[in-house]
Amino acid sequence: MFKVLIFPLLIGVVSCVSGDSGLATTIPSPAAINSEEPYLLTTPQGNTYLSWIERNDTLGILRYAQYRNGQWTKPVSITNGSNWFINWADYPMMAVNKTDMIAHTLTKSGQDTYAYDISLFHSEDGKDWRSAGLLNEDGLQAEHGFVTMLPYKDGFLLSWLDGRNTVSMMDSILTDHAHHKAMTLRAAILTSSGKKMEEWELDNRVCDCCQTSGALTANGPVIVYRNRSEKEVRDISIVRYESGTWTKPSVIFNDLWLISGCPVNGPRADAKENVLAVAWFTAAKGNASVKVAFSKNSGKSFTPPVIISDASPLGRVDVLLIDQRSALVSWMEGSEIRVMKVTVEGISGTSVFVAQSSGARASGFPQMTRYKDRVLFAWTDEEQKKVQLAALDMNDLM
Amino acid sequence: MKYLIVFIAVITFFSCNGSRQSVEETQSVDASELSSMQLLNIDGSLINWQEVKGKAVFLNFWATWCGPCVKEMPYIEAAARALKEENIVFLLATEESTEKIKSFEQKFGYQLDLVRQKTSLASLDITAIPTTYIYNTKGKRVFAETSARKWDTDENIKLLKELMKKP
Repeated sequence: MFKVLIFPLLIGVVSCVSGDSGLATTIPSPAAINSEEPYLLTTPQGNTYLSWIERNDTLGILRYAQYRNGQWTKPVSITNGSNWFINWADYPMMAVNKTDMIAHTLTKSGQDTYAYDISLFHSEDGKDWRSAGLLNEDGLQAEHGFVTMLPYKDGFLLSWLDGRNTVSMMDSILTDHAHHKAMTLRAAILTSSGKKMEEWELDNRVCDCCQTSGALTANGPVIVYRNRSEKEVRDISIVRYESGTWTKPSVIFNDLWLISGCPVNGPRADAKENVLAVAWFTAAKGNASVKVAFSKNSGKSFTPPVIISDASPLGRVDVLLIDQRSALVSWMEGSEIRVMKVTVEGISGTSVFVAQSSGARASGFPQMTRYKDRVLFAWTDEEQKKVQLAALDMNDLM
Repeated sequence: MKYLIVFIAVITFFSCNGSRQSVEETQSVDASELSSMQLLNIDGSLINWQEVKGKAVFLNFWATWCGPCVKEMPYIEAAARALKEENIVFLLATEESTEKIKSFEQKFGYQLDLVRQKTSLASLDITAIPTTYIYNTKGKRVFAETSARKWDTDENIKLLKELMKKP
């Protein structure tokens, strides 16, 4: 009888234990010392890439490598410059469509802290890279960044935060009229060589310090981002591109995070056919948490979000749909990078420890992607000042 | 016996969720938080907490790239001016480099003590900025808020005076 009674106690104790057994294995990094800001991606064809920045004194170098047969190829330099805006949260990205590749850096456009442009680069073979001009063509010394890049049809779809309306932000800050000049969300379709074909403003008032993200659903691309209401509520919104037009922004879930500040914690999205997963961080009502919500109709509606974090999440999420039934969500829990499997029905698995990082901002945003039956993670090791990598077998995540 | 064990199990289960910190809490936090915090003056020297012992501390976490933080500064400056005869120290801490702080200071010229924090925001459970922590004269944290405020209003000056004295 006692054994029966003790069962609930054991369940209670065991449920406290996260998967800290160290299932992840480190894998050699192609990045050198003084590297940072990793970005991982895997194409629909299953090719996996890592890009990162290396610093040599004042010179920044954007490099990438491909993961083939369990090894990184020799790093390729995409571009370099000494006038870059290098920020722990606003990292360069690349996208691949068949043989065409594009990448971006942030290039200072003036003396002001907030003055930088999005410079694009294109390559037809992955070796020779050339400038594809500026993504933002407003010609204003303003903030432009937090890019999302997706392969789309024969070219690419990009979204970004565009501060063209904030060019006199510092003046407005001092005169308290900043609410008239908010950050905007814009998007553009580019050809395979990076030439802009069409451009839109998707939202004229968004959070000015959070990453954007996007995914390709069966119904078309979607962009997710942190919005900003007149009352300074900053939750996650979505816009969808369907039949040649963008939908109006709609909130994925009303966390009602009221904050007149910089969360620096954008959402991430991934899609397979009509299933879309969006993960995000919120600290609404003082409760810090990482959430994931699913849509089975390409983002038109979402299931109620599932909270997956523990007591001390910092956010910095990534999400990866394994198939149309479940997703992986990675996030920072204190100084640890953790990952959890969640089904579209909202059943969460075990929180698995991936790596010890650092809560310091220099550790950046951990990245996650799929390589065959493994999941790769990349982050910046703040102490060693180097991009590090780890891998987990998909089967180890339950 | 049966109810006791079930009770323990339930308590154990719910304790897994930990205690999520409110960003607008008002309960006191142990005095060791402030004394163990590593903040650097612009000249690179560590702030000696013994020198401010017995004073309340208004500690604002900010960054040069954070618009709301920069927007909040004139209000903090005005509040510091209004409370200059009071027993309170105003410090504004950022994780950014000393060079960036100096450059910012030269550009905007606020009469504020801008300092560099070696203790990370994460270790202080700060998930967004600006965040303001206020410590009473005994070094206990009695206020935490993530959001910009107009600190120089009559209402907020009154709040600051009350917080300084809060046990």
